[in-house]
Amino acid sequence: MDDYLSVANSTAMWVLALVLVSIVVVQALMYLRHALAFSDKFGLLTPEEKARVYKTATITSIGPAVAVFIVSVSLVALIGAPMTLMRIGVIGSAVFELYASAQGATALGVELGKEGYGLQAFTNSVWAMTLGGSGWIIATLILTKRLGNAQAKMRTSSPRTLIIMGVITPAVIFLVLSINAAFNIRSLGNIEVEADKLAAALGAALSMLLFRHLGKTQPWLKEWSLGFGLLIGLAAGQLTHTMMA
Amino acid sequence: MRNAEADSFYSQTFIPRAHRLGIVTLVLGLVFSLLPAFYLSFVVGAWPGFEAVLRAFIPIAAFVGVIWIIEPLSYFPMLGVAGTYMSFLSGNIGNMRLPVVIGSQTAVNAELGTRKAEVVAVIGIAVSVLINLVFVLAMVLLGNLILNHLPQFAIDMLKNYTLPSIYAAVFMMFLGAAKESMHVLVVIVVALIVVALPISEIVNVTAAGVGGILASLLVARFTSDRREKA
Repeated sequence: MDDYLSVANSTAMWVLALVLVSIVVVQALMYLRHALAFSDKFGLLTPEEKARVYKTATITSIGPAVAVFIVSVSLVALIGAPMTLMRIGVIGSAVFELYASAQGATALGVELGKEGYGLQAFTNSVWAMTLGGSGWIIATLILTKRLGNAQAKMRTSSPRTLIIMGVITPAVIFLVLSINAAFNIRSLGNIEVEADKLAAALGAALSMLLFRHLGKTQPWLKEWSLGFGLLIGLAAGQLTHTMMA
Repeated sequence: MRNAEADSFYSQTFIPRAHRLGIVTLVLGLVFSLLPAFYLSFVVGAWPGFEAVLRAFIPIAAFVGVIWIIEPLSYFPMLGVAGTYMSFLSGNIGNMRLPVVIGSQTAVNAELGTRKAEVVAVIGIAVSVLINLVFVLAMVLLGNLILNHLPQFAIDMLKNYTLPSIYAAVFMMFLGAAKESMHVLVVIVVALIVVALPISEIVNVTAAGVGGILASLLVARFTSDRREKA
């Protein structure tokens, strides 16, 4: 294996990564300013509510961010720090990038990070990750304007449909994601329960019910509820795992 | 009236500007995300050849091609225009952006579909993009150092149980936003049908998005608003 990692971690790659990161940061800051200006102009959010949004968003982000960290830290050794920063930090998701970089290696008959995975195979992995990831950006570029127009039309013609859609669609998606995470469904007659993961899901779900109830008298709990729910889920999963072992 | 003024500002200034900002930043993001591949291929000189690139790309496109289109579509009702441009540039949508959106909206009692909810979503996503970057920077710079100091059980716990916990918690938050018990029933029935379909777990999330949108249209079409009747 030739030393592709010295190229992968070279200054030029770092510069490219930092430019991409700054695009994402600048975008986030510009939208933040845009939304705050709109809110201030028409008094949509009180200063107290704004503070609550900052706090909730921060607390809620930390758990998933730590998990992404743990899952993708192994990528640094495989594709170098700058590519990990670009793919995990700003555009993609750990699972897809790992899959795509492996495809790039397979196309040249080698395995990701194993014997024979050199500079050319690494370059092919980079092509696979970026071209694969481009699909989402291109689809978003094409679709968002149309979706925005459709939404604006529905807002006047059938606002109720929008509200129903805003509740039912995400609830279905997240229920399916939860079931996927806790069960292995090979066919209807062949369903494997992953008891520890099911316990994590149930622990988190039940604690959310409790927090919602308590939140009526303790408003500060609302900011923490997803963070606490995640911690209780983690503990329930680990506890079940320990008891089963 | 103040409300009408806000409406016209929203549709004539807020949204058009959100589109312009999104298109410019996404095109820039697209170009700059491709630069490392060009740099490695033509400056360093490690171009693997068209055939190799295609051999890697075609299975990927076959695998996720449908998801490219369905994801922006099915997440749009929750993310809105600005939220969609931000989320699809920064990634981590299901595990981070959507939890932040529903969590922040619930924290300030912003009802789904209102201007307030949309503004809250944009602020929340922007904050979460910045927070996530801090963690990713720490990861690429100090990753192994930090990993070596974490006990193994903590690493396993975070690896194995974060997703089931966060998905189930977020599901409960959306369910809490449902005003009618009939909607809850529809959600459960549609989700059970989707997981029973003989398709892989990666595709069935997409099917959940499509199923959710179709079910919402049917529910809206065949039920009437109770408040209207009263």
